[in-house]
Amino acid sequence: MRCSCSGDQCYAPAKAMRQHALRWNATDAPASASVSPLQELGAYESLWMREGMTFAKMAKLFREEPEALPSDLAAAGRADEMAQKVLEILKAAGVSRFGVRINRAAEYPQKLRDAANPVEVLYFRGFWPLVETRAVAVVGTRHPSADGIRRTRRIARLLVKDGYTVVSGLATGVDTAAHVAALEEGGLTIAVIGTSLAACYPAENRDLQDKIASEHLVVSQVPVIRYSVQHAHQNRLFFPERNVTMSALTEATIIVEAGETSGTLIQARAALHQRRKLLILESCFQNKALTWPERFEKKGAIRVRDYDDIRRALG
Amino acid sequence: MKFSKIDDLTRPQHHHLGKADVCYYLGEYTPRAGFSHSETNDIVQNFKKPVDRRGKPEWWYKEQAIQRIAQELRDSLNPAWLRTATLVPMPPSATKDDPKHDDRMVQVLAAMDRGAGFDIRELLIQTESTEPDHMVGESGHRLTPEERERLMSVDEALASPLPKHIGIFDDVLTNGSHFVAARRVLQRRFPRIEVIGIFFARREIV
Repeated sequence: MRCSCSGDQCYAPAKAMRQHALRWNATDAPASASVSPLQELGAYESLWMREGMTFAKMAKLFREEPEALPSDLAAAGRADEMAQKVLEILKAAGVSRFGVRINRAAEYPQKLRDAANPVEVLYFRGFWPLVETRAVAVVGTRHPSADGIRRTRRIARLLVKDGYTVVSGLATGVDTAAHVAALEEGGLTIAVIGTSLAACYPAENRDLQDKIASEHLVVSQVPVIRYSVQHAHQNRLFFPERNVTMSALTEATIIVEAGETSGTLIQARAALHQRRKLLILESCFQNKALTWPERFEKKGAIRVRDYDDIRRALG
Repeated sequence: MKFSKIDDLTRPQHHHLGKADVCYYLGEYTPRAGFSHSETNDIVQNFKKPVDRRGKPEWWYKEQAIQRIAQELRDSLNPAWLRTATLVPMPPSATKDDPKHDDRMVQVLAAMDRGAGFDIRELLIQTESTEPDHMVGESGHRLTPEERERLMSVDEALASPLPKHIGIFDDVLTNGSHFVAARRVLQRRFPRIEVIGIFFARREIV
């Protein structure tokens, strides 16, 4: 299916499609379109090394080639080299066991396709079936008030009692409070991180990330090699992207507390776009310095005054 | 759904498999005490329901799982390969004269066929019942490929015509000992024939 020129920049859609059809019909292999997870992650990392690559550009590549796997679009030799490099980086970071999910292959969650620019490849550590539980994201600012922390912890605990998996982004503030409260309550939690699996941000959450990875689930869409070679300020762009994926993986997002320019609002937009429930705490509406709560309410977000409202909204 | 192939990333979880072993799978089965629900996990668990539940209401779930696995395998396999391959069910741990005998993989292959005329043959015979791996427990002894090989033989009544290539079908790829034993037994009898493994799921240990 790869274009015969083998050029890393060659997308050749029509040609690739013809070759794909040819390969399927001509081969006697049991599963001619089979996927080698290691090869695909290497190819995905290789595509990410193209200059100016973003999640939007990556998604466009795959929209133009709806049948393609990463290995159909990247140069073959490069993918093997990249795969080995990923293993080295992760091993050096103490990550010896991890998995990948590849679009249209084993256990890739269809709900990710609701994102505007769905990810083709996801890395994870931990217990993957958590993705199929009823899951609710609890997110908000990195600098919450004492009340914000208290509310986060209460919501996370009650969600656990109601059987939900609590999902957040492992950032400082609301995210950390949500994960910790879910764990303390004996519930399930998923961290959708904005770094690669080899990294942790903030660094003080290393133990929490490892605990969630070994007993629950940590998910990352961030390319390991690109993350390891580019500047920190460029890597910061990955954080809002993971909020889009977090929304797609969950049935609802609850915003506890967030400023006017908070990255949390990326998730609010994504939730509405993906037709997920967006719940905003009443306290956000009470803060007259904020305009976003009303704005999102007009677009379909649900204002929640207490946990009973949340329970009703989740249905 | 595309089949995935066991590669360097996943092979360490199936430690009896060597680099030359070709195994394909559709899903991942992730057992965990206390919590184990996922679509794949549910299908596998229903599929493995012991035969003493036959006639009980829950048996319906097993029959559904057999149909589902058959459908998914057939949809994902290359039709050209299916026309020329010999499809061999992995023999179950209990022999045919054992009341615990479960022919669920034979039923999957029959449901895949539905009049297509695939070359389905129970080429492998288990000569002695063994404890299923999922019942052995953490401390129990799991048979090695060598030990399993001694308990398997080829049914000579079905050995002709000579297969062109063989796919061994099983529900879950665990440590790989069943597959390696089955492949060796078949390749001893048919030395020049390619033997691959086709699994509904691979077992993922967290």
